[in-house]
Amino acid sequence: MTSHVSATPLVRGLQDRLWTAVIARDEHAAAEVVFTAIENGIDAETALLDVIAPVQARVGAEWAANRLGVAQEHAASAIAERVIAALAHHPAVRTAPRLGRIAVACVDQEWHVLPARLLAEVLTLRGWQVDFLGAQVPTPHLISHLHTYGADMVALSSSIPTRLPAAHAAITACQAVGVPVLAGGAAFASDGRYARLLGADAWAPDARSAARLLEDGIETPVLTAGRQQIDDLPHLGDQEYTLVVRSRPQLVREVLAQLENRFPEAAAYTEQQREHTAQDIAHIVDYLGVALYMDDAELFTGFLTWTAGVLEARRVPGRSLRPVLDVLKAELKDFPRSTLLLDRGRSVLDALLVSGGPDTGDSDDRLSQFALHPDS
Amino acid sequence: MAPPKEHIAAKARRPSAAQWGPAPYPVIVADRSGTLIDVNPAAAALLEGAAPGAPLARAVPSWLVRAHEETVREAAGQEGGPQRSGFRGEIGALSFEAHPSRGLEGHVVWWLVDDTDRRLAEEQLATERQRTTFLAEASNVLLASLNADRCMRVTAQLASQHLAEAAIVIAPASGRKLPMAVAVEGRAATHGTVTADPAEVPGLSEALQGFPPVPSRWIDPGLLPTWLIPEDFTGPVGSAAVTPLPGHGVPAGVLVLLRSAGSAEFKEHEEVFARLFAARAGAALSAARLYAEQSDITRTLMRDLLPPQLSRVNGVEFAGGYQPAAARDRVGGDFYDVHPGGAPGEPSLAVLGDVCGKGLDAAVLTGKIRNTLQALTPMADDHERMLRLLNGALLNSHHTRFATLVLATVRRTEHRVRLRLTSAGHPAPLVIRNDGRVEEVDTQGTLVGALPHIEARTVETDLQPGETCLLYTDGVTEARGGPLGDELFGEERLRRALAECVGMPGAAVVERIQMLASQWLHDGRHDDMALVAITAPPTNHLSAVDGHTRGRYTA
Amino acid sequence: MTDFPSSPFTLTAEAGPQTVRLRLAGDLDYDTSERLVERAVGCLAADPGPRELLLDCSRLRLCDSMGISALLMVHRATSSRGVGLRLESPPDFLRRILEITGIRELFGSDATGRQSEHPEDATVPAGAQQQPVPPPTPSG
Repeated sequence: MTSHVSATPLVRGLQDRLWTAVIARDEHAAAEVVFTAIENGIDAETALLDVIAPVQARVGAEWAANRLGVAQEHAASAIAERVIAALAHHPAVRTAPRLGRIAVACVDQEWHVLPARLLAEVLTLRGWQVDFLGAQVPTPHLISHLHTYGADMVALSSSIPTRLPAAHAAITACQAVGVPVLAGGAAFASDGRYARLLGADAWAPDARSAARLLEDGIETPVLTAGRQQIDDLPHLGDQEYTLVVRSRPQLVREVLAQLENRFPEAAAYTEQQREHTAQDIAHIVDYLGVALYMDDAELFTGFLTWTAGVLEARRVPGRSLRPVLDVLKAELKDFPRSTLLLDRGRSVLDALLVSGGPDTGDSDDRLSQFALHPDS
Repeated sequence: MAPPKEHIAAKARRPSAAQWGPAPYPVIVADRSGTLIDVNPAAAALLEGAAPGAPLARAVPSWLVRAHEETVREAAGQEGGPQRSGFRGEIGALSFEAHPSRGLEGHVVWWLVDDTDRRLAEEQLATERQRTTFLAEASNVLLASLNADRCMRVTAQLASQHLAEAAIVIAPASGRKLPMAVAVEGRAATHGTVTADPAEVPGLSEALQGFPPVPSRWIDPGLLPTWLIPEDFTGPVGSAAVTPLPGHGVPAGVLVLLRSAGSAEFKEHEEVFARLFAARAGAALSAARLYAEQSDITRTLMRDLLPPQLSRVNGVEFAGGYQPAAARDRVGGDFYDVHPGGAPGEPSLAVLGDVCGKGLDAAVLTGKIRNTLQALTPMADDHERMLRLLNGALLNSHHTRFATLVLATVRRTEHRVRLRLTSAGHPAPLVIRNDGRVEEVDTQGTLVGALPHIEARTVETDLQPGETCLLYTDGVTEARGGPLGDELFGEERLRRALAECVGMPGAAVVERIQMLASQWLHDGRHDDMALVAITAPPTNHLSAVDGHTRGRYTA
Repeated sequence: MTDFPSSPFTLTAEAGPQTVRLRLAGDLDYDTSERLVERAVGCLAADPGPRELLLDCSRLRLCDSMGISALLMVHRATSSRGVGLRLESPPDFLRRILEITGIRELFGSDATGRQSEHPEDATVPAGAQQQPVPPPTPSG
């Protein structure tokens, strides 16, 4: 995506006006900003990628920084969706398909639909016949779509790293029916290394490069090998991923119980506080799981760093994560890769806390209930 | 060197002509300069012109002459060292191994071993292995996809790579057009249709009708029509083979193989092999067609069963969301509909319900309920009457399959939206108020379809601009999971989540609840989940983009 | 096809004078509800038939919509024969479903009241069960 800073003054002006309309939840004004621009000669791709996309990115960033409520964020996305949909039907931007057929889909359980939606529109504008399957497409649906309608290519979007195993299943399944996969989205890392690790046929950091790659052509996968997921990731044979993921509820329960033993105030949590804590622990276990799946420590340490930042922004000390790691380490002491990951997590966290931690933001009622604050 | 000594040595070492004379192998002896010294009867019979004193070059093929020169050179270099053996070549139509051994005075004794049969066997084995590998790979590739077009393309490509220089797959005609996939020399196949008469190609219409294949030698390549010959095929066609692709009882199509004039013609065993490949391709193609037919039928039947895309109707915002229980199903036991009122002032009828059971059985009952309710829309102001009529229509003496549902009659007046809500055995609707309260609408009634008498209580409420009424099925609240793995999502959690949705557009409310519930499930199994949000639009963007835009998901 | 039970549902019948008590344990759902109907109808077909059918639900763990449908089918079978039907100690979740679906009146007083928060209490030793049976109340 083109950043706000590098845009031309004209585009920057449009971004600002769209932002104002979206924040005011004024769908009509938002549509007018975009349609007036189109009528004044801005091409649709610029409108999508340089006006709408950066505004949505800003909405996400403001939400993460706790300056925008969840309702505003959802309202902004809904408005963006409708403007994009209306744009697709605008007579000025209609394109007859002349290239191949592409299915654009989000990985199962992936709700962040906008990047895929933007790609689908850009590819349509460039002359592809696009089947947009939407958010959270179960892999069997994707495959039966490919059987029924065929496709020269699947563009698969995933933003959440914990969905990488699901993305892997989807990639392998598409390739098994002879359709190559282009992967995109934040889940595959900023350099696309997770896409390569999962055997995707191509990876693109943004919609424009994805369109370019597709125009250059991507080779069809070789079908004869009968490849399965474990062939890409032989370390999965040690079963650590399977065991950690399957014992997630027990791990969460155990961490919760031990926290309550160690810290009396934790025992006095309200039901809701307890649930938030349990959910936070579950997330940590999820990221431990995906780090085991990919055999990549950064997935785990990156999440811990991010979480510590979010906690600090909500005025919860980041060190409250330490005992969680300790209990998990004790529980998973027989698992060498998990132990290694937890040690790495611990040292990254310690370094972070010594350096003073990330910036703090405003407090938030909902997230101050993030209850991992035994030391306070 | 004293002659007697040599004589003695020669006597001791030199095998006599009598020894190799009757040997079952041809044996020749030649000196260093390449002159034949001795030839046993077997060798004389094999090699014309082979006699003592004749130059080797005149009696034996050149490969053996070179082998002799090499052996002599090596012998000179390393006296007494090991000599290379295992020369091999053809003599006439036969294949021989030539084994040298050291003779007198630097002579070389050549033993010729006929290995023609073994060579043939080895060649056949290698061919057989290649073919088996090819067939296995072809099966992998062919069975991977259930897409018929792709299957045709893959068949043509594989055949043009392994069986001929060009391959054309022709499917039975649909109307006057023949679907056709064409590939040359293993390159990606092109696919399209051609309007042509299959009778123009010898053997083609017979093969399409399931008659036995016409042998290649009966096909005159000069008579092939131009539409059959690929553009990038070089040179005139030398030979052609037409092989049926056997399907499930009826031919799935025909494989036409072309070789150029310069290449060898199709041998019989090659045609047999082409049939083996064709059998696999035909099975894959038929399976793909069967799948296409079945999914076509299912799609047609399901079109009316799928939940509709909701949008704005008569100034009221409707949004729906549906997740069937099994990832492979798209229809199930939950349903919703919005039936717009006839005129802008008329109320619309929204329905959301849950039929007991799952799968197609449930879907069929769902269809019946939806049709009946649509027919009853004119009496949308009298929910009790609607429900009694519906109940009567569903009652069945053989089973007690029932449905629970909520009816909502929705009317816009000024900026407010007036709702009449009735639950028939269904979880009560929830209303998100602008002040953050989440209210349960106090309506209750009996499920429909199983009991002769039912009761229901209708409740009225108003939505202010920005407020949303949510209808949901218990798949949402019964979602089992959470961080501890076995907790229900529950009504309390749903209310808390809704309290965070104050002022959101209806579509966003639906999406957020769907997201929370499915995250709660993690990867656990769940029942169908359906949601409908009825929202009084906030006053500042009344007209919005327009009423016809697509919803959030097109899947 | 062999049926591998993943969530066991067990049915045990105890016949008393004029009364049959079916004990339901486990998950009454899509896969198991048919068994309840067959068993109940079998009990009613006995000669002489019972005057009341009791369904002990204290050990029921789950009841989905097909389970409710089965209960309605049992109700239809009992009421057509003039046999009484009562659910004994239904767990809270079942009571709630009966309440929402508006059918709790069909299944006797236990389904309505909230007498037992501890279903275990309702499990009476076998010897103590032969209480005088109330006269049958044909529902109509």
